[in-house]
Amino acid sequence: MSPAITLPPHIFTEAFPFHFILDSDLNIVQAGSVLQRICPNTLVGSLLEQFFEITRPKITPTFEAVKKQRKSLFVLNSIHNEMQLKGQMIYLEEENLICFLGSPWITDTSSLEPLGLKLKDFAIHDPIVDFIFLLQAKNTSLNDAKRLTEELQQQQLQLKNALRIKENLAKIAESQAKRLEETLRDLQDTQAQLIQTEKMSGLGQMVAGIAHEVNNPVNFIHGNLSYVLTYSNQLLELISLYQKIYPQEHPLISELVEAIDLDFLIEDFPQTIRSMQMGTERIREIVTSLRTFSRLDEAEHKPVNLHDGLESTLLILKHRLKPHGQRPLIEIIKDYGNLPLVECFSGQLNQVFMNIIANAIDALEEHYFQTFNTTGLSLPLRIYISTVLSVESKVIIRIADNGSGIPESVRDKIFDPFFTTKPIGKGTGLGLSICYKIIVDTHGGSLTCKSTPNQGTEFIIELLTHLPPQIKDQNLIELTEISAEKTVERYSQEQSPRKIAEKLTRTLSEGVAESWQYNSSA
Amino acid sequence: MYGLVNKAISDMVKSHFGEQIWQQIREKAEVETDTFIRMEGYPDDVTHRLVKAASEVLELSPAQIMEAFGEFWVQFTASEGYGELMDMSGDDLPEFLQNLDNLHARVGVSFPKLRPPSFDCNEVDDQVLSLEYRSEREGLAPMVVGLVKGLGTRFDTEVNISQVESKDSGADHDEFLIHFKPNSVD
Repeated sequence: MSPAITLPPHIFTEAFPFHFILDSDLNIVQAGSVLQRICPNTLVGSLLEQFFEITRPKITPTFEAVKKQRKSLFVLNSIHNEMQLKGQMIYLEEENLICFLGSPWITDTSSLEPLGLKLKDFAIHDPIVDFIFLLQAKNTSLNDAKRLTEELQQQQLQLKNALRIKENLAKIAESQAKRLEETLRDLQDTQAQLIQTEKMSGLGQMVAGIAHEVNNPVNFIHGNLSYVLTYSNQLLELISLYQKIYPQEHPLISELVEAIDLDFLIEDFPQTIRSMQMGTERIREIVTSLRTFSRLDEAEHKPVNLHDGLESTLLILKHRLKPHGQRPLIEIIKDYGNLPLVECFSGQLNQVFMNIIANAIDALEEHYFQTFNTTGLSLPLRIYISTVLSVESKVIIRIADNGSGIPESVRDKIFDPFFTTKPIGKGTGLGLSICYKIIVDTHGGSLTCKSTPNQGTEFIIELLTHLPPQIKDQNLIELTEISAEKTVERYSQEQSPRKIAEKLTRTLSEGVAESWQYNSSA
Repeated sequence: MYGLVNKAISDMVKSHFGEQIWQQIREKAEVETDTFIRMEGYPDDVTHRLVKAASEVLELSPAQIMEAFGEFWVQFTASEGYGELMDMSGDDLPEFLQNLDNLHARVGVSFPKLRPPSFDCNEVDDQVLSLEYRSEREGLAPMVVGLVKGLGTRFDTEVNISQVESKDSGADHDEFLIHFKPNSVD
């Protein structure tokens, strides 16, 4: 059904302010008021092509061609300005006219002003104004997105910089912590070294005194005992000869012979002297062992037989190996290989043997009493000492015990300075730390520990047969100390310990002064 | 309220009182963000808190703040990319005010969540207009006073505005009587 009501012309013009009507020659016979206003020349009476170019659809601009495109969207470009009209062509059959209904198509609000358009120029129903609003909103949103993206990028950059700074700070902190840790370790090492030096110095002085005070009189006694034996034998021969030549004794002599039990005396006297000789020999061995152990006469490195050092250590510790109270003998099981002479600081190596074997004895004693008290079992106590020359020409010394072992929780710490599991006052926590320094730093070797709970602990020392060159150079630095030890040794041959100590102090002071002067001038 | 309003408050405070005062107001209002997306809807509470905090920090009444804001709003929207649309909406104060409702209606059609106010402008006499203002929101009537004053500045027109009806006094809308006199005539 066709509508009965149509818009009156003035309302139509208001409702479609951008419309125009074409006749069969494509002359514009009517146009909307706004379109007329914004076109530079008189629109009505002019040809369409004088004002507009049909860009869509692609047709030859003839009345018939336009008439056929009633279902097409028409896009017209103004020839005089940038305006673009969008709409449709409606063929009016009765009047044989074509009516264009549409409005300017705006994609950029800035293009409105040059066209001389205002909002009120558009029909209220025309959605183009809403489209303009949406365009502006889109632009605003895009600008916001762009601004936020820039802010985000800037913040990311700042964050990256901050992270880089943080990373650098963390690295610096880590490096400083590492340096602090190294410094602390150096300090602990130095402290341990100082204590070791002090101990060795004290021990050296003591041994020097013993060597001097005991060795000389013992040698004197030992040397004279052979004469005593000779003289006693001669006297006994003389008595025997008297008895043969003068068998009739004077009663007083007979009385004395009986009183002193001459027969027993003749039999026992040489044995007594021989016992004394054995005793002095034993004392000489002990003194020799002490000297070997301290090796004060060997502050410089030189090739030595390590088995001698091990034996000296065992001799010094012999009293601790004997049965003690309820505790049975600690058995030493040796398996010595065929070792070459090893270039080393033998006094220091002996200190290592001493520490490790003494620790083994402590561990065995503790383990024995713990087991005995809890189970009543009397365990055999053994220390195994073996030496071997490896295929890489390394000397390997293993010292093992069959004690309780070292718990895994503390195994990593046993070489740390001041770490001890012994009761307060009993262990300094320096023994194994010093051992580690002597083996690793002084000799370029290695010291490791293997331990199995309730089976025992094994310390493995690996040494090169020759000291590495850098180790030799490093140890030259300790000339002052070595010189002082040499001084002790030299004086020990001829003077009393007290005088030695006085001279040693004087010499050390001079040495320090010389050293200081050297450093100062350097 | 859309982010454009909150951004306008922020820009107004910053341009008149500086960044530090704005940060003080923002912290007092407990508004964490410093970036408002202009076409995004924000809870009205954010705007109310900002106005209240600004009132306390600047020691001005909320009405004074809103009036100043209304005046600032005209130049702000023009500078924020809506200049052409404002140009399209009228060449003088009465024409612009008569198109004001259309502007807001179109905004409401495109962005229904923004719930823009409505205006009805009628000519009372030569150079006298009445402007009815209806909004779902409370307390924004002083902003309309500032808005008209700002438009007076935009169109170089002397404006005298008085409120003749008020929701605060029980009316169903706010109404203003505007006497205007263009300073220059084309």
